[in-house]
Amino acid sequence: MINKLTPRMKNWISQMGIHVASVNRSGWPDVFVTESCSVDEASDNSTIAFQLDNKQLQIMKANLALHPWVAVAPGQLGAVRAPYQFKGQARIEDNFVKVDVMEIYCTKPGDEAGFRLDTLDYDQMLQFETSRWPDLNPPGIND
Amino acid sequence: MQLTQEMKQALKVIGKGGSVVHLTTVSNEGKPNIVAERFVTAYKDAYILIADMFAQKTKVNLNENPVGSISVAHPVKGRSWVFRGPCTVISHAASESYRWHQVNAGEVLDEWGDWAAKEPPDEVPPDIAPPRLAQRGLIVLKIDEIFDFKGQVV
Repeated sequence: MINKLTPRMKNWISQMGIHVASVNRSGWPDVFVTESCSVDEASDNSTIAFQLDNKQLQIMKANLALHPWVAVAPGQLGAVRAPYQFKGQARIEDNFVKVDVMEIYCTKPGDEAGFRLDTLDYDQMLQFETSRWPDLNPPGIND
Repeated sequence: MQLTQEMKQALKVIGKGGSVVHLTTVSNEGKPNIVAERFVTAYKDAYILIADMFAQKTKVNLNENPVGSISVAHPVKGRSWVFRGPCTVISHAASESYRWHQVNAGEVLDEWGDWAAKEPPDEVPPDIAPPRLAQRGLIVLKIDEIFDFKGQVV
């Protein structure tokens, strides 16, 4: 099942960038870090898209041919204030990698670590966020 | 492969508990898992230690496939490194004499086994701090390779 990201998730990853993990032939993680990304509105906000350079794309393409799953986490301050992990299957279109998000996790340290947010319906997911975090955007960005 | 002084300092840059990093592990089926971690430090020039607080999926993956990556998450400011290598968990249940590469369980657990008491994370705001810190052991990564954020070998 493909899952829709909330505005808070979208704001934090698009403005703070992401750490993207794919898996190589030997089963080792390859991690790239991007400064930004986008969440595709045409996909009902369920696809994360980001650009890589040619060398990174070659690595990603080889990895995806064997292991289609990737994991994505917010970068910079988002690692602390936006504790999410997105997992999904990825494809390459032009110079962009597109991840159809299939699993969304809360990674806040403590008893909620690892909680599957995508088991909630969308309104419940929004409620989960608003009851915990007041910041819809990273600091310095208007809500 | 050895950490430079700059890298060691970067891993200790925020507050007392160290920098914030992302730890990536991989399941036996090739599905990655990436989570932010704090309570991190360099150890013996070629290792990184992270407190094992609630790393459920990480531990399952490491039992299946004992490798990992650690990428500097915050603050970055030019410290754009990804460290990769063999990775394991040394739990509080381990024998004091247990050794993994050059890491002795008794030695590291004595020093870092109760990280929150050693370095209380006072600077962490209440809305992102866990209500209670319960450390199960240490996650240890041996640094075999270092990359920049674009995947180029450093």
